[in-house]
Amino acid sequence: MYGSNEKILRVNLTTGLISQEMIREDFYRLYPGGKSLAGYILLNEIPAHTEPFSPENVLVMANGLLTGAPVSTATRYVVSARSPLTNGYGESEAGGFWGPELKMAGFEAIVITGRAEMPVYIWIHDSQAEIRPADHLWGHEPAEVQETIRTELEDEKICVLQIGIAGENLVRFAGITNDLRHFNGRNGMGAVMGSKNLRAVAVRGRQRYQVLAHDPEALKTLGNKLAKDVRSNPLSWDLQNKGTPGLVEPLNVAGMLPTRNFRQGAFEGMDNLKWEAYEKELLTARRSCYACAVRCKREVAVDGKVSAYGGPEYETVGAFGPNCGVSDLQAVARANLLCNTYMLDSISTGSTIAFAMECFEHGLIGLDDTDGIDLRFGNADAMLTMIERIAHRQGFGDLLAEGSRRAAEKIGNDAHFFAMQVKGQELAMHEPRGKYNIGMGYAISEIGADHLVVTHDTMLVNPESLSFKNSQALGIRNAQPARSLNDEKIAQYYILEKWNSLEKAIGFCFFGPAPRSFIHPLDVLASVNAATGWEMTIEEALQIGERAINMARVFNAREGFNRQDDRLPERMFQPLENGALVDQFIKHEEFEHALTQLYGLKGWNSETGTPGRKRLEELSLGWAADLL
Amino acid sequence: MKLFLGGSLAFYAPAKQPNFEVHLNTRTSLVQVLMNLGIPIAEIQLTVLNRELVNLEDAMVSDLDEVRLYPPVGGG
Repeated sequence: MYGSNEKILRVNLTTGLISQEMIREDFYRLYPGGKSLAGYILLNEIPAHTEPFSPENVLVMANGLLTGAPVSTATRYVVSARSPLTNGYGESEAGGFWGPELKMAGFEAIVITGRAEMPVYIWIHDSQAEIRPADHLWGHEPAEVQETIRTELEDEKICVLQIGIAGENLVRFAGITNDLRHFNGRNGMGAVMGSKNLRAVAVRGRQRYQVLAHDPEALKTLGNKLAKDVRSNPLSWDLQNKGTPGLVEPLNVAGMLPTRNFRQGAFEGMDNLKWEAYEKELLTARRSCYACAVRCKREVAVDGKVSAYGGPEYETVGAFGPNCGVSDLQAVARANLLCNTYMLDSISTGSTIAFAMECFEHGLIGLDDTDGIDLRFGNADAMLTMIERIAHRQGFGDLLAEGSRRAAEKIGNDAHFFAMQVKGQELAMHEPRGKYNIGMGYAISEIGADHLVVTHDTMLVNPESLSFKNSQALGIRNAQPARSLNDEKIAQYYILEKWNSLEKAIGFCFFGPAPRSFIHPLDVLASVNAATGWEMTIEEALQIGERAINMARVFNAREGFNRQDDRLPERMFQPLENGALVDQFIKHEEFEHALTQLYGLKGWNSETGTPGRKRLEELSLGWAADLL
Repeated sequence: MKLFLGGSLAFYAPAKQPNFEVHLNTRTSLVQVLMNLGIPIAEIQLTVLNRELVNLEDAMVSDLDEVRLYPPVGGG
């Protein structure tokens, strides 16, 4: 088989047993890595109702088929397990260098089971692996841990994936970092690692992707062309120029900058947080992921000192800035630094603090509850203190470390109304009342609210735009308004969701393929085909994406999830308080009708949302239907 | 007229700089000005004229105006 190492590494932390498993090509073509391979393993190997922090939970780290190929944005891997935040199928993607390094070390994925008695880390190099003690790393900051591992293994080029103190303390939204600057933030995958006493996975490989490729020359030629396309496409050019912090100003103008826990869509302090301020006050350099010409990563100085952990992305600026009512950019940068030092998901951390701020302002909690902290919107010091307390599970931070849904249940009264979450995971910093597909994606996503499920509506509203024209290769025919869920738009959602799922299976970043960015869908296929020798069509690609979604959906159905869990926070059905979309809201009946329509297209039961056997069999998932 | 091209629209600006000035002798349609500059209308989502959100197709501008344009934002 081409394009793959054909090997999965298995590590049982309870027994210490390490083994390797071969992958067959016919299997890999159905489950070509990333989200699809992880979904297959989770569904087959995690018994129903497994407690997320128990040794029986299975942690998968899986590269996409193209991860590490010399193609810009093909850098991603997923980390997957039953989520302690949602109690459902858990997943979080990251770019950087660790995934490509794992590919170079000879593996497509790592499957980690059991629990080590004492803290350990896994060391993988050139098709070998060992478990090493990590007592001396436990409780230390990621930068120190990375340095210690590289020193003791005598190689400065080792890629270190690791958790931080938040993961050790089982904060339910603890994340994972690699190379200190790239993050599997969502769904609490860092807490699952912590529950296994696994602090890090260090990797070093020396093989090049090209030796795996079916047609290395074609892949190289395509990679060179795409690297040039980055500069000639306005969307990727802009990402290279500003990175994601460039989103702050246009979203504010559009009335879609989540402000004060999603009450508002525009923030009066935006000028202090927009790109021009970021560039002037924080920026020190631009960096990239492996072999990626987009170079959207930002290096910053915080309080005058260059950070080892990279700069805040848009999501982080949004979560700790407008959504907490904070207009101090340095405070936002400090919040980002704290999250990365403790390895917390900055979206869930910021959103959970915003939830607590609104509870505080409504008198549902008081100073007695918050350890004397005046937790009002706009109080940057209180926000920063709460991040520390969440990471260490101290005082009121121990409650917030459970996430906004669980915290709301404990606080009681109307607190649940202020928890901006779906399935237990907090909303990202994109406003559903301005982009209805994003609302649908938040609601239906198997991992809880997530902003990378579907192409954002605004990209496809003008039939003459570059992004719309690129989407036509996927079968998108007519432009639709952003604030609508009409039947044709739902049909488009169905296509776009499958395409975004495919990206997560084969290792592409959201900022690679069109319609979001610069790689035409046919070039995505050309990359796969040059790597594998397959003749993949758009139809097959979309089916891979749909297969991955359905496995995750079956996983959740088995855990008792149903249509009632595909629900947006009630606030989304109420008017925005300010900005360009003031008074706008989603209509309940329109949303419910669209959900029924979408279930129908997906072959899911309209009342329960459970995948039907017929569609599962069409997707070669008859085995999954047997699990229901 | 002061013109600011936000986000990816700056790609189409002279020297790819987001801020620049255009001299107008008469009051004219903003769409016409942008077409003369080679800025693709289809890529513009939001138009702010003198700090007010307006409809691009209806906007008339003169030399003392300030215009800020933004593309659709795709998230991520």
